[in-house]
Amino acid sequence: MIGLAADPIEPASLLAEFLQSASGAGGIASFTGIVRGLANGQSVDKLTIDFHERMTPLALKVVAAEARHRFALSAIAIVHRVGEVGPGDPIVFVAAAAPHRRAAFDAVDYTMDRIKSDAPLWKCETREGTDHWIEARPSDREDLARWEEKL
Amino acid sequence: MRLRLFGRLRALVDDGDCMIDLPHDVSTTEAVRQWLGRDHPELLASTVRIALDDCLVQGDQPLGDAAEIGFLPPVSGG
Repeated sequence: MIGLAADPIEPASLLAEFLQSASGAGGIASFTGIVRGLANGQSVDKLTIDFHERMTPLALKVVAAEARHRFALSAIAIVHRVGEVGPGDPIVFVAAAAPHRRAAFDAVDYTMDRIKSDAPLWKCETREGTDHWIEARPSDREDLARWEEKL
Repeated sequence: MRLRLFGRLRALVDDGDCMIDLPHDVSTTEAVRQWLGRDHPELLASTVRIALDDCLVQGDQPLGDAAEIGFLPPVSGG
């Protein structure tokens, strides 16, 4: 369960499916990212997510493989929406199954940091009728650097 | 050669997907950047990375027989 979704995603269904595939794990953690309804004091009309049809799925697979190796996961899931997503809708779902809870929590955190910094995905936020391309924040790089320090 | 632009760069030409005929003396990734950058200076930013046939390149690389060149602005997924 690694890839892009052009249609709405249902985190509850994805988690249920993941639980089936991760039998035997000691702990499972998951994260769901949601489109905010308010940004910079303006209401958000929609988010449009651009991607590369080959590079982006491959990048997600690389992130998943590295998280799996780093945290000794028995299973990992990454599903990221592309196209137009509305406020309140899920944009990304990540789940990790590990022998112990700390590894599961860390794996999800690490995977999200890697997606934000390394996956070819670009978000355009339409606020009150005007498009705004979202740039990576310095804090995204700082978040990723936390994991490099732990090597 | 197929030119692909992503994110905020898409708006520069034909929704970011078109064929380009390169001059004979434009034979490396950075030469393409400079050539396109004359009309689209947004491509000259060092934060814009270049991919040849789906592979990100480091530094200036020969185009060889690559079919596609992509310009990728800083990502913002998640």
